Amino acid sequence: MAADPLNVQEVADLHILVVEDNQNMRTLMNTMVRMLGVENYTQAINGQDALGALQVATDLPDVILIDIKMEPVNGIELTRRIRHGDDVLPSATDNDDGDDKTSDDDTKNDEEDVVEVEEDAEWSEKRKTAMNERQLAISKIPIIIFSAYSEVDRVVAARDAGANDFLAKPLSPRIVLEHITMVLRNPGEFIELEAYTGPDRRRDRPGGFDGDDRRGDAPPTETPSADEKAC
Amino acid sequence: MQFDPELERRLQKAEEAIQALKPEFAKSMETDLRAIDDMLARLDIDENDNDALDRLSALIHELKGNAGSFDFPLVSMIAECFQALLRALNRLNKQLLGILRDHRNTLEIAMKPALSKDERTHLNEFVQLSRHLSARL
Repeated sequence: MAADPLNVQEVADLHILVVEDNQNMRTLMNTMVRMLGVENYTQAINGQDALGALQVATDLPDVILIDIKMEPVNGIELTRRIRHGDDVLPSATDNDDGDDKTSDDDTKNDEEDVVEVEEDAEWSEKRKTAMNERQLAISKIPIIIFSAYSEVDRVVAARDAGANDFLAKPLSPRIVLEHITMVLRNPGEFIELEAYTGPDRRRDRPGGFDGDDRRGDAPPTETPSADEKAC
Repeated sequence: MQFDPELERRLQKAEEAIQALKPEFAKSMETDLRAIDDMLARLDIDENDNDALDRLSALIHELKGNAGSFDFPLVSMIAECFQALLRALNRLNKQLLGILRDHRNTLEIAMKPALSKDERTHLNEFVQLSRHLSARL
């Protein structure tokens, strides 16, 4: 899949969101994008943090880079939520429901209040439309999942969750920039699945991979938190 | 992919900046090593300590992914062998625990800032042996 390289101005204008729970890797990514001249760069320390950042962002990112192995929301699940619009809008939507106001007995008989309710309903409808548009915009942001794993089941899980690309660690500035270029130049496509699924990387597991890294069929056990992982 | 000259210059600068982060990352690997030691000590006491095994797997996984990005390719390669061995294990015993310790000790050698030719040869031979072992388990 070919793509015209991004130029220096396009890179400078990018807004990148990186979701990574490891401090060392966040430092590395921060160094990379700073040296490349990216002016608008946001970091999130886990999936919840990323969803919060998307909720309040006035300027949505052009591309999101997500580590696969995070807790409590792993990269696959985070990608799914972004694609489906779950948890990416402000929770104030409850107040938009015009039915709440019209069900108030006091306002039903008050002419001025009826006018106000009609205006509220109109405003509410506009707000819902705007939020739907925002949700749609968020759900379309290109996503690159990266991981130390490169087995085919991880790549397929990333693709099925809605990622645009899968980037196997180690990361380097050139590799990251090339992958960002590819997803921005080829929107809506999953990039070169075959490139990551050579025979020595295959490790198919029964039942596929859902982002949980626990080994085999062992029952879930406590795994280290981000703070407990040495970094 | 060839970027415009200014971007190519910035890519080069970014690589250099990452090289400058290596000493700090090396310190964090020492912390990783101590955490690996703690988990191996727990497994010494109880070979069926699944929590220790899970934590050990998580540590090795992080090391594998991160070390390569900070230009410690041999650490990454040996961590990958360690990870493959952990995955291949059905049941731990004293002998296998000894092999896990060998991997831990080899990781420590690979973490050195500068490696001699002999050390590199030893590490590459170790990788071959470990892969062979994992395939047989």
